[in-house]
Amino acid sequence: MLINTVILFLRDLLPIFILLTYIRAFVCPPLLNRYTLGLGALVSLALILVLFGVSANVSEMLDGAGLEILRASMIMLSYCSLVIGTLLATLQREQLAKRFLFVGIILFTVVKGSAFLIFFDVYLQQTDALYTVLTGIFVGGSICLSFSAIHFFLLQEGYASRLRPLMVLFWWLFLAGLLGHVISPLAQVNVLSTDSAVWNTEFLIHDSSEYGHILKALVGYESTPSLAFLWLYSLAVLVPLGLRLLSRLSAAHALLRRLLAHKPEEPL
Amino acid sequence: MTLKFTRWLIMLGLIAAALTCQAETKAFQLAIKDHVFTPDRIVIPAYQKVRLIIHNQDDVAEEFDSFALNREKAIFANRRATIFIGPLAPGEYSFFGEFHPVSARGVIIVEANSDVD
Repeated sequence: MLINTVILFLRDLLPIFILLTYIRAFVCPPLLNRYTLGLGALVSLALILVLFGVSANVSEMLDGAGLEILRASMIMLSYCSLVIGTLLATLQREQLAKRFLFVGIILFTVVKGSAFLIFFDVYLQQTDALYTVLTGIFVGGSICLSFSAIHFFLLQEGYASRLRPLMVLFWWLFLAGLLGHVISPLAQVNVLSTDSAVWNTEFLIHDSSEYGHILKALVGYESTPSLAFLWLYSLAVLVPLGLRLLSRLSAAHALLRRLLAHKPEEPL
Repeated sequence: MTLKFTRWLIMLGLIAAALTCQAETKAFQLAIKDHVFTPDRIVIPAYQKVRLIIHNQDDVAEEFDSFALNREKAIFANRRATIFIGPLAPGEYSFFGEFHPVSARGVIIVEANSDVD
């Protein structure tokens, strides 16, 4: 049960820690101040409790697909908010970027947090397991915190060095992984049809292993990905990268036009 | 007006098609009682999509989890849930209850010439 608690921590809560680490490291560091963290925690907690409370009823809606559709919709909205927020942050539109990123973080935290709360509720009803569960939460929490600290350090150092494009690419891969994992829940309730796995890397890293969970949280690792997953994952990386490139080109074009139209007595 | 009517017709057609597909999908029943899956072995036909209807008879939630099937679904206390799996190649695909992984275990056996056809 101890290991199970730790694994559930890695599965449900580590992605939230990683998301916050990216935001703090380079996506939009001013967003995570005391005020927004406190407000975000309060709003998330309230929404997690609401979603947890209605989960059983929602799960029976839409012919049993209610919860999957709701969670997938929230994840898709979260992905869109985070992508728009990131692009706005690169365009120096900080205030607007902060709002989009805040919404994206809240939606993602609510989906993951409510899934964790279902598990937590089950174990709280088993009084004999309480000590083990609390130990598991302590160990799981410590792993998440220490992982985040190392991850934050690496991201910050990498972003300040020549590895900046790689760090940015990891951020987009993280977001793509976040979106890509809406495929399986939608397939399991027959909203989407998926084919068999395109490849199988279980012999290298199994999804159920600790490394599998960490890689899944970091870049959306899937040992047996379907074609639908690969398509969505690729689009989720390429579309924002393309948009970013376009925005940079248009910014460069605007600067060039200003330079060409520049008169020496006017400031640029 | 005609465009609206055509849209409605297309939508109704799609819903009907989806319901027909679902009706034709074979269903298999599974129960969770005292944190144990019953039956713990289910034989299903190969290369066909099937429906698993899981009835959680316990007073706490359970999560049907299978890495082999790439499925993960919470089944709340005293409720039913439906999971679609397949089409699958012949073989054995294990599953377990995420919240009680020691007791809640089972396997889905996919057979090419299954008598469930």
